[in-house]
Amino acid sequence: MSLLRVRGLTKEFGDLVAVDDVDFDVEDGEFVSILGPSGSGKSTVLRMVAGFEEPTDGEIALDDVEVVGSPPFERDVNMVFQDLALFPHLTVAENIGYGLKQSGVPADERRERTERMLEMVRLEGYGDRSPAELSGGEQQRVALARALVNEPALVLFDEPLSSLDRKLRQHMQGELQRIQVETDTTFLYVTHDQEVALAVSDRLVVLDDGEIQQVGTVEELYETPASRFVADFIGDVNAVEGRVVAVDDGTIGLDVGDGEVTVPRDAAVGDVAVDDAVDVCVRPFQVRVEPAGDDRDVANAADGTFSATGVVRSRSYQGSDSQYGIETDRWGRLSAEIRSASFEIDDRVAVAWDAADVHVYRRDGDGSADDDGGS
Amino acid sequence: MSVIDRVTAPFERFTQTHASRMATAVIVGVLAFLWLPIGVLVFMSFADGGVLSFPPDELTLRWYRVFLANDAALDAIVTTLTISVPATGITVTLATMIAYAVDRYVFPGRSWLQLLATLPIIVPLVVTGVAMVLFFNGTLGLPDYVSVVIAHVIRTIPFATLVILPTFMSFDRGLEEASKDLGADEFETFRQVTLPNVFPGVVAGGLLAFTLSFNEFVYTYFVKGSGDPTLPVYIWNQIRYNVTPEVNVISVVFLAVAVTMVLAAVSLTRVELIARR
Repeated sequence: MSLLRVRGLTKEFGDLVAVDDVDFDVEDGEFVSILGPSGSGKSTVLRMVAGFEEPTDGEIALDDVEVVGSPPFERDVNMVFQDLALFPHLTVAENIGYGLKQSGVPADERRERTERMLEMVRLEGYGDRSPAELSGGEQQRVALARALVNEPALVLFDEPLSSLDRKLRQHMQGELQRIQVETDTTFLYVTHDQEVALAVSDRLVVLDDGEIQQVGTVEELYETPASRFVADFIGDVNAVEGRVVAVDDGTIGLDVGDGEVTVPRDAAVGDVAVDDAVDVCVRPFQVRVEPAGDDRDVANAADGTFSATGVVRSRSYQGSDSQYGIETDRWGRLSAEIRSASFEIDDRVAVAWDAADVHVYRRDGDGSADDDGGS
Repeated sequence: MSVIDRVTAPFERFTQTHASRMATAVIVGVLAFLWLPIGVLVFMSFADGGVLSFPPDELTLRWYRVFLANDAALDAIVTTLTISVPATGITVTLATMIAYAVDRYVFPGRSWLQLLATLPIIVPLVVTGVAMVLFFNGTLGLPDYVSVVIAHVIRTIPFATLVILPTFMSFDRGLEEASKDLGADEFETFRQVTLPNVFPGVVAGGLLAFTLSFNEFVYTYFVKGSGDPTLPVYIWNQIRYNVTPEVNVISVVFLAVAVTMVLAAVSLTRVELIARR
């Protein structure tokens, strides 16, 4: 039995389908993120779980009890809002104790639990201040404490970290994880920021255009993305256009320009047939770059390698790696992340990657292939 | 450089250098026109002598004593309060409800409600006054007191609504969601979150309503009939028959009421909190 069970959740605003037949579960004690670009419907999902929006259709069960139709104040969930929504007319301690006061907790116990929460979020001694006197990061902590103090079954986050600068955001990510473990609470976190989502979550729900693209652990989504969208959204990806020319038991033959490359059958997500137009995707860190010496210009079917020549157009240092933008003669712009070699802008280079490292997606397909596809 | 430029250049240079001094001069001028007559009035309330003439021969508290000993004038104040206090209460309640509804809900006639609520500002006072006499006293046969209170509510509602509405509109509705999320129902949310946050506007609306009602003359004069006069009506009667410096004293009373209202508003609404946000 899952703590939160969402089935067939749909929300229409007039003609617009904001959320389309969404299913997912959140287990007790998990940290799950709903990740999607702006307008993907992720906040609407969260608001329906909280009770601020009525679903057009579908079920939301919390602890096996259907909650659709019950008002927000009757649901055992608390939310950390995007703009935090701290009460400006109350002190920090009164803000945190607000939920306890509503549920009739006596003043003594309220004070004690508020005090403990302030300690938990490392804001001891801030109780008497006004929220307006605190910094952005401190306000985040108050909002978090205000939700956690009620010991809800589920805490919802509506991109509360998006307003912080990068350094503070990373710090708060760590704090969120620590507090989640310490309080043993289930978190459902909505964000468009894949960096945050990858850093904090046990599992991810990727949403685009109101529909679920993939549900899985961070590793699953990164290593076997179910669609080109997911591959693109979770980390960077290079995509090369191609066409299927042969499908055998264990392999697929792809025409990617002037040659044919054979890739493993399970590189293709879902069904592919001869003549399908496909995207061949590879992560930048799996692309090798060498000086263009010999004329190894054609993709070589025999050793299962994609290769092309090109010119270095850009480079940027990213800590230990360098990111190169390479204009290839055959496939346009590709990016490569390499550690050792060093190239200058305008150098002629050869790029290559192994057929075993690619994922192949049908271009005209709906992209929502099975979760168990891939390698 | 054109001829015009050459002519205007010195002026521009002058305004550049003296901009802040010129602004100060304008502000001082406006304030002077606003406050000098009032200052003279307050000064004249201390004037000796039986007629309104400037400058007075001697300063005295005599007219204040006359005023305090004048039961008719004091009765007029009490009469005014018995009308203004309930009228203000009704106005603030209704104006808050109107503001809440206009801000929150889209309902048939929403724009009409806004117009209707503000219409009494536009219609000439005398026209409404006559209409009220005919309708309240004539058609409905209401007692004078009830008619006057209703008249005052109608007079003050547009102003109170116009003051209260913006505080509702600038109120962050996310706070209400946060409150409900934390377990407070609709009513508790209104009481514990909405009201405290719009309170400055409601108080300001109430003080404005009270001040207007306390000073209200035209409607009162029409509707009140022959009963006890309110303070403005009393002054009017006094000036019609015999002009004494006591009228200045009563004017100072009005002024004192208005200033007190403002000070009360400032202390009640914790303006410094708003300034900090």
